Amino acid sequence: MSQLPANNGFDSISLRLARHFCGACICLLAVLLAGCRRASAPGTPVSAAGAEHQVTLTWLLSTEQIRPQTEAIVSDFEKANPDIHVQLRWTPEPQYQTKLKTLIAAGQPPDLFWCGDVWVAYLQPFLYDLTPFVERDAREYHLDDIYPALRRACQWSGRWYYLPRFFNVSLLYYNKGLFDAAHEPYPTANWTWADYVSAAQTLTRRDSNGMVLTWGSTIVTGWWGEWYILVRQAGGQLFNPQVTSCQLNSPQAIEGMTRYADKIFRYKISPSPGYGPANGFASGKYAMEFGGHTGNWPVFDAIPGLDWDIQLLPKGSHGHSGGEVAVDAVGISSRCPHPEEAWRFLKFLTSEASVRRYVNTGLLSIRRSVAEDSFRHLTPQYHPQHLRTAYDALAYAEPLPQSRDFIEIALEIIQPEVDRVLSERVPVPVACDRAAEAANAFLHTISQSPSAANGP
Amino acid sequence: MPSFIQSANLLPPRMDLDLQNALTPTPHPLEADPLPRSKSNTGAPAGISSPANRRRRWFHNDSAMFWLMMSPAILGFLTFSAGPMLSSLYLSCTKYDVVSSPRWVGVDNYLYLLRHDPAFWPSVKVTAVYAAVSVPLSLVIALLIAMLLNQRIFARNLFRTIFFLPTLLPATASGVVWVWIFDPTRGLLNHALASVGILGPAWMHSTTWALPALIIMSLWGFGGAMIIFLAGLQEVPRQLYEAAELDGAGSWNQFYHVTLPMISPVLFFNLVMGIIGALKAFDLAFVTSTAAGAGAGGPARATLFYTLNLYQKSFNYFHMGLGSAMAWMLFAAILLLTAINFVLGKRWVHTS
Amino acid sequence: MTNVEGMTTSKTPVPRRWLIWLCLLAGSVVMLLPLAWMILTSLKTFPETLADPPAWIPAHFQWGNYLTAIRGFEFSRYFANSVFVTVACIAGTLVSSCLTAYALVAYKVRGNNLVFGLLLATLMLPGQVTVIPLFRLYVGLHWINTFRPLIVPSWFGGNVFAMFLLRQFFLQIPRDYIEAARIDGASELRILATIFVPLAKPALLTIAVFTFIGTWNDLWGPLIYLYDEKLYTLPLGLMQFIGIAGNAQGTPWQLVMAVSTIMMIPVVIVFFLAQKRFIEGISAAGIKG
Repeated sequence: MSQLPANNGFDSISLRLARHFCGACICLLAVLLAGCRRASAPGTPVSAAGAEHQVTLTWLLSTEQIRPQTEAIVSDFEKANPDIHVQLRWTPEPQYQTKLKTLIAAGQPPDLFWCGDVWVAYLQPFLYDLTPFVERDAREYHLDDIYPALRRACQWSGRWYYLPRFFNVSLLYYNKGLFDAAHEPYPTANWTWADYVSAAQTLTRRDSNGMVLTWGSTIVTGWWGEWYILVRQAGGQLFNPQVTSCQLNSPQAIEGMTRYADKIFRYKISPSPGYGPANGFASGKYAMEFGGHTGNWPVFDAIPGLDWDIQLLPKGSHGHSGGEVAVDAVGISSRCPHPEEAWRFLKFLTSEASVRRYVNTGLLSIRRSVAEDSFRHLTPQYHPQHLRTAYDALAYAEPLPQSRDFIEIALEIIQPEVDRVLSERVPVPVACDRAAEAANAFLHTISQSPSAANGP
Repeated sequence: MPSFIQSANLLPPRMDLDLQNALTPTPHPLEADPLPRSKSNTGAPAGISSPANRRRRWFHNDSAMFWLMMSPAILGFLTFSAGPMLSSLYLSCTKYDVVSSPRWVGVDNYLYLLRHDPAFWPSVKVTAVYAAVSVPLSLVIALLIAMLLNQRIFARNLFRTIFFLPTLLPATASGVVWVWIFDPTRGLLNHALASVGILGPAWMHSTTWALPALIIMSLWGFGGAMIIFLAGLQEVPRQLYEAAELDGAGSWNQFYHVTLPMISPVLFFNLVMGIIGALKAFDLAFVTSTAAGAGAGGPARATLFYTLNLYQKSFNYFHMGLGSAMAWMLFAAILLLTAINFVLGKRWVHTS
Repeated sequence: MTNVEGMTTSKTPVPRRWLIWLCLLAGSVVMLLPLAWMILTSLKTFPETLADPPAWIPAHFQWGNYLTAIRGFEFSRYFANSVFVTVACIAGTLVSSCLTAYALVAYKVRGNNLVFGLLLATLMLPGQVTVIPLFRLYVGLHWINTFRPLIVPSWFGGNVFAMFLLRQFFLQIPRDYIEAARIDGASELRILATIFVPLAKPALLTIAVFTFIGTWNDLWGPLIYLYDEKLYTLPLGLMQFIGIAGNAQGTPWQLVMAVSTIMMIPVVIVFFLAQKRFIEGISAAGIKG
């Protein structure tokens, strides 16, 4: 039979410990309760602040470099409209979609949210139909000042769902310093694919060991950014217009995809996935960037000594078409209790004055008037010098298909096959066949388009 | 029971503490009732009654005390676990995309996943391989290091902290660091390999080497298991080792016959938690495959962990019904594996 | 030749001790490399973080990065929030796991194994699926945008890992102690507090440390339940840096690493201090060995 240690020592130790334990618990409980009270003070969801007749709008947005400008715009708006208060809720960009979706699922969507990226296909049902507002205020808002391509990008089946702040369009970026060093003429608006390849080959320079010093062109891997453009430039399409069948194994699409893979394996103007300089064009080791993103312009400008410019993408089999245009836009939640006030804010957010602020930070203007003005203010030090080209490219660019299936198929069904082409040298026609087959199977089972009435 | 443990009783006691119970097996508390207790409200063992004991009878009603003490946990379980779990079980039989209300589809989700989904079986395979390789490896490393750290050496505390340090890093920071280390051209790893003449593979960008890269990264986090092993190792009585040495047992025999049995509850714990953790692993795969630019789960689904697939289906593509179905299948798999572990554990886990 | 810490003493031959030391040193270097990279990157300038090939050591140590990072966002507020949530979670976990583990170990009651099995089963459910139902629950309770969803579950047995670990440790304590204490007239809570808790100090310390780390580094919970910037915790604040340019190429990695380093320091300190108490706890208990 066991014996506990000497009883007296046991008792005094135990009493002390018990007292300490209880005391600690009480203290912590007190702190906890106090903290909960304090923390819950700002916790009531979407509270109306300030005067009784003041409307509060919540805007969920992702942290961005132009945060100061956005806040300035909001404060200007509130000064001009004292009956409206716009509450900004910043979220880190990688978690934006999760946050937004959980809020929507809980029935507490923010009044305004970002409709800029590819995921807007999933958000469309939560958006307020702005068409009546747009038609009513078109003149006062100078709607026709906005470029037609951007206007189209904000509409679904002819109905308006969001307004753009700025946009991105596919372009050809080139490093003037590297072109000068190799005595190569700069890209022109009439370049063809062959011109592009031959210039890139000249500009891909290796050292005595065969290690590459500079690459002719970047290549985008891991998602559809580049191969999708090349497929379309070759005259192919990913889907038929109704998005009911995948056409990736058409001869044109295969040709486009073959060009994509050839950049690495045949022409050797681009690095294999993972082998290129870490920061792409910004590293100064690529002579050209195919496609790119206008949001990178401030990044390029921050690199001392990077002398860069832009040009239209080289022509494919069907002229210049095939590039992509995407807008950074804001929409109103379909459950917003104050759509009229939210609409006023949207108009202000995309008005001439606000667009000027965006342009001053280096972003592209959605309005022709402001764009023309910016051309007049071009200094020799400004990058890119061919600023006008970015707007010309709008004529040749298309937004993504407005279907949820597109994103899921492109990323989850087709992309693995493309990865295999680049990583395991699977032949392109084989990969395209496999991808098209899997995509069609998907379309027949869990497609989320309205026509599919069955399936999970 | 190995002979040298029983022979320890012949050693003269060095302390005043009675070692009887440390060395002879006492019955598992929940398997045998050492003293007969009546189920009546008198808490004192039958046959020993006194006025003093009868006064405390209400505190000693086993059943009441058990449920009273368990009530917060049970309440929490029902509210924060069981409720949502049942709700998601319901969702798994619906087509639910958050926009519209759930639509009942029966077992269609499960059938789709098992038969038609191109990502399901690859993700099962990735997770299974990951668990099967990383769990034993990390346990072995953790135990080895813990045993090394159990010795009296200079700066033990410092070493312990150093080995535990990796688990203190947030996944976002460590994921990015690992991506740099595994970079095919600039990373430390390939540079080190090149210095001994090996051409390193493309790691996170190669379909064959991406998963091994993740396994290696996960090994770095063995510190958690190591600490628990350390705590268990320090509970092993010195006398057992001395008795073993007196009996002529070498290092390996000491390890196999003294250390392993004595730490077997702790080893069991680490094994169970390790397997569950590996099957649920998400952070590392998510952060690294996104940061590497190969696309989450890429390339070509080489790092598409089961939970990553689940996350994408639920949160990127709004297939909430499919996601719930996947979660319940994972849950069933984990339950099964843990049950197997417990059944097998009864045979090799040595309790005192 | 024995000591209460149960370690080998002069019996270890010197060359063997040196060999062990060397192995540990080699292991430490491997362990520390990524951390070294992180800290060195935090001392670089922005172009240096983009440099290719990347250099290990920056040309000039930019200690100012730490100040920029702290001033660049509401560091002290996030820090205070993190501390509050973490301490509250640790307290809740310790209290509820002690109660629960004791109840599982001390009472042979018919529901015992069933309850244990059910609780253990919750460990196995992946978090992603309960997110939406839980979120809706918290919306109904008006707990969104408060700390409650982060803290309250830990007071109600939310940390099953802790309960499991503690139960295993409590199992190692001979049941006779309970009987003896009951015969001596101790109440259940007293038995728990005065016998089990001191004996399981290493386990409690482990639980506290793990809870600290988990809560301190937790991103998912605060991300989903908090949307008022004033309530953000450190990991959430850190993510703002990573997303600050809206694209990966503009991320100021040197600041991200600086904040990560700062975030790591309290955890390292806590752990370093706690591991000493580990040993004290064992020698004070003095039951085994």
